[in-house]
Amino acid sequence: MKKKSNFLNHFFLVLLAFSLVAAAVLAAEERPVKYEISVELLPETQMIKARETITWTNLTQDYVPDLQLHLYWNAFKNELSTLAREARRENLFRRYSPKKDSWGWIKVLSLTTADGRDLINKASFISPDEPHNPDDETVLRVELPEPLAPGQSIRLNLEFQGKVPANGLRTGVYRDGYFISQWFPKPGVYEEGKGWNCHEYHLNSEFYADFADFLVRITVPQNFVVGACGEEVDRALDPKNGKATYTYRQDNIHDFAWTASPRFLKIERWFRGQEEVTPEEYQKMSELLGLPLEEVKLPDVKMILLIEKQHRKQADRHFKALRAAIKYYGLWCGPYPYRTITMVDPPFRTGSGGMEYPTLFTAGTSVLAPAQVLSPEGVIIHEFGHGYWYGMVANNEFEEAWLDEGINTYSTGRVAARAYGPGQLPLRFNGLPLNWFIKMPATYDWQTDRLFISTITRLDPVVNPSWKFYNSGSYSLNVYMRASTCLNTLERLLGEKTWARVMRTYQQRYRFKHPKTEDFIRVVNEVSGKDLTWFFDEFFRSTKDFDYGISQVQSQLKPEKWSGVFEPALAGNFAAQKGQTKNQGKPDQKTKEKIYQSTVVVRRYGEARVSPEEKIKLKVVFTDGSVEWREWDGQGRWARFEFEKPARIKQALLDPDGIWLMDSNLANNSYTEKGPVARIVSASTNLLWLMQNFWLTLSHLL
Amino acid sequence: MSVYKCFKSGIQQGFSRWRLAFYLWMISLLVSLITVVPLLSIIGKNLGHSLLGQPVAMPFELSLVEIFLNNQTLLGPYISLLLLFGLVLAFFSVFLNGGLFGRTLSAEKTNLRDFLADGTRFFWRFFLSLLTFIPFLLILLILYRILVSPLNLWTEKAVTEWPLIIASNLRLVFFLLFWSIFRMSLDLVRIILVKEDSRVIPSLRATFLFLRQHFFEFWGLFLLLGLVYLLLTLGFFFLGKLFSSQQLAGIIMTIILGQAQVFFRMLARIVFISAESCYYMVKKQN
Repeated sequence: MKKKSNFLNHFFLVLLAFSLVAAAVLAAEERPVKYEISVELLPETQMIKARETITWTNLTQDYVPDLQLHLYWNAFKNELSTLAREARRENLFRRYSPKKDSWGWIKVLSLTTADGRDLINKASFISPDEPHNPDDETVLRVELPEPLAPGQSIRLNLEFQGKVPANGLRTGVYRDGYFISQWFPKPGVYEEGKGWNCHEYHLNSEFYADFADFLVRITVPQNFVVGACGEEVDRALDPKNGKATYTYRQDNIHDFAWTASPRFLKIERWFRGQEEVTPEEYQKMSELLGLPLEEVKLPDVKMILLIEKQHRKQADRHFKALRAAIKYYGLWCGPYPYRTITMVDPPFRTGSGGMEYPTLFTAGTSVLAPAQVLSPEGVIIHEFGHGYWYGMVANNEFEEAWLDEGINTYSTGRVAARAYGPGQLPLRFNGLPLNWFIKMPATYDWQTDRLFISTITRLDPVVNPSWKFYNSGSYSLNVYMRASTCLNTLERLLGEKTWARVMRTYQQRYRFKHPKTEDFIRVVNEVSGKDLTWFFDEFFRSTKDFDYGISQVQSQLKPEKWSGVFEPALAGNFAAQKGQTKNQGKPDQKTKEKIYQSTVVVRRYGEARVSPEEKIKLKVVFTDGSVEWREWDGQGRWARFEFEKPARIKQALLDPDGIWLMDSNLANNSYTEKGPVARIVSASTNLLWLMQNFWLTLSHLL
Repeated sequence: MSVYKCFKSGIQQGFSRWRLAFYLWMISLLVSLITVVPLLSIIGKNLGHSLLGQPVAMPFELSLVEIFLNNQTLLGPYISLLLLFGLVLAFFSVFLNGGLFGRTLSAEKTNLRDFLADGTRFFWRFFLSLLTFIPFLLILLILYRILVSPLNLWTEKAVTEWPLIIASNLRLVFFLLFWSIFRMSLDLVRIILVKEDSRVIPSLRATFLFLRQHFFEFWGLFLLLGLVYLLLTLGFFFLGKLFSSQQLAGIIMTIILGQAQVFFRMLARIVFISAESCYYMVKKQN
């Protein structure tokens, strides 16, 4: 017996081990790409040279005849790249201006398969987007010797060189400070039945790639401090050559950036899940989300800060903001799954601030940063948040940028509000913060986000390929602010509990996947139990303005006696039909109090409409303190509501619950007898005073 | 000593000409009201009976921004009108300056009729003096560019933000100093024009000769007046912060203080002219 039970135990153990290994292998194989890169920074020439091995697996059922690689740095090669052409079109928001002697590029020197076949002659630049640009070199198509069958892998060995652009977008060099991003040849995403999703580098787009495992060795001069995505697993010094090689590893991310500068200070601290979140907060979250307590608990995370020495006094501010971000994103969306997060105060003048990469992000601050203004806190929270929206839930930033920028802008506002409250609007003059002397209005992000809707709605829909927006301004205001306002509206519509579950479900379901807008809508509908497709059609896919308002409020004394000719017989018949007394046309002797006939007219000024099921409420308050409620389906252009009461209308409020933040004009959503006279007089006199000083200054010039 | 004497004399004379400052203040109020009425009507129409977006609580300033963004189609025509008005006002300012200099430098009592008469009398000469000063202004700007070019080199090589902040503010200071030279010189030309009832070219020549001998002292007087003016203006600013714009008393005080500051600006201009004139006359006699 003993022999038999030992055998069985061993058998089950082996089976368990086998299945664990199989699971691990399967999990690893679900990621189509592996990168192994060795790169050396050459500060004398501001170049990099590297060797890269890409292992790409065909996880689809298609036979794939080629590979398409992003070579992003070629966008900065000359004035004819797609990005440079699009930048020239911009007037007001010129985000990129190519400068002489600041060009950047990337060149693949050799490209071979694992068995030594040379593919460099099979490689050519393509322009997959409309309008085609034959001069753009940011997408390299490599024809494979034979199509790759489903499940088959190919290993490519590349040697490449790159010139770091001096004033590129999101990547750059200034003196000896480097921020290196989008620097290596990177395959696009192959979509089954559709082919390669590998866009050119556009001015107003970001990035899209498959989840992958990275092993990167970075060689820099010994005095450089290095930061990179993932964890540092090895370090080797070469004193003879004055170099150091840092090895970083991270699985399950879709991009890899790094930075090096001798002017960084590196500070490490820990986020401890048990210390940063109280048991009460965990309990509350567990109840809100309907999840077991263990699922909401947060792990420990190592926080690494690379901060320029000139900003060292702000290290605590940086960590405080990062802790808040890890805490609230973790509680609301799910625990942060990586062991490290690297936060970079980007090297001076490298143009790389405010950007996200998986497990690393850049913030950016100023030597004079008043505490009343949430900067750099806001950008830290936002860029960390991208680790969730884009880093883990990896939407196609080229085609549906709102899915990360809009959702993250909304999330950032929530975290900032919870951790800090409202922040003052910034005011600077010649680099000096005037917030120290002038108290600017303190606002929440959602308040400023909704301001520009009226200017932007008619230009473009929110769901739009990035390069098809009217200009950079329309892109930014639509995918960031308008999308965020739509989501804030949706939250108010569905309520805190339902919305919290929507966002958690979406994050958890599409972690490490590539969702689309339809996937988000599906989750919203599923968790809310309502069909809110109309909401997305009306506010995300259209260019219709949303504006409901009160156009007229009137209260008139009802006459005691109506004028006119009244036939007694007809009056009697009429009275019989209407069930009234025979005294029609004569004063009602019983009623002594005054009766008012009041009217409220509401209008739909914009083209966008609410769904007939989501009625808009109207609250009318009378001078005697009574309140009347009405509902309007909002479908027609206007509606009239009439009241007869012994009091006049004191106030009328459309959407009194403040749900429709999408409304481009909230001022007309209310009426009050006594308006904000003091505020208006104050604003008017300030305006007059400003104008007087303006004209005086002008006349004193002459 | 004459600098201090003229500084004191300028203040005394400036205060004695308060009626002149009052006329100018009234004109500035009227002109500004005309230009600001369209904006005030937008504010009144949109917010006059509004609960300012409640219950969606927003700072009032954001409500203002919202209504202007919603009425942005009106902004274009308004700005065009403002520019046209500005052009007309430019000529009108030269006229007013004629009246200002004329009455400030006159021994007679100020009344509105004489003020307007002086404006008419000196308008053309003041306009010409402005035109003839344009080359001088260009020279000053060139000198300014030369002076700040080392700052540009410094900031180009910066590895931290501090050089940029310091250089930017230094450029502003240099610009204000050069501007003060331009302003002071133009004032002197006009003082000579009025005091000696001369033509533009002789006045220019006299100014040049005078400044050749007394430039730094004269400039010192001008800068001293400017410093006092700046400090008093800051005083107004800090006083204004004491009053809340949410309560009626605070609003009234803010309005009074604001108009007092405008009146103060007029008075300051008179003080400048009086002090400069005093210095010129003292040095000329010597």
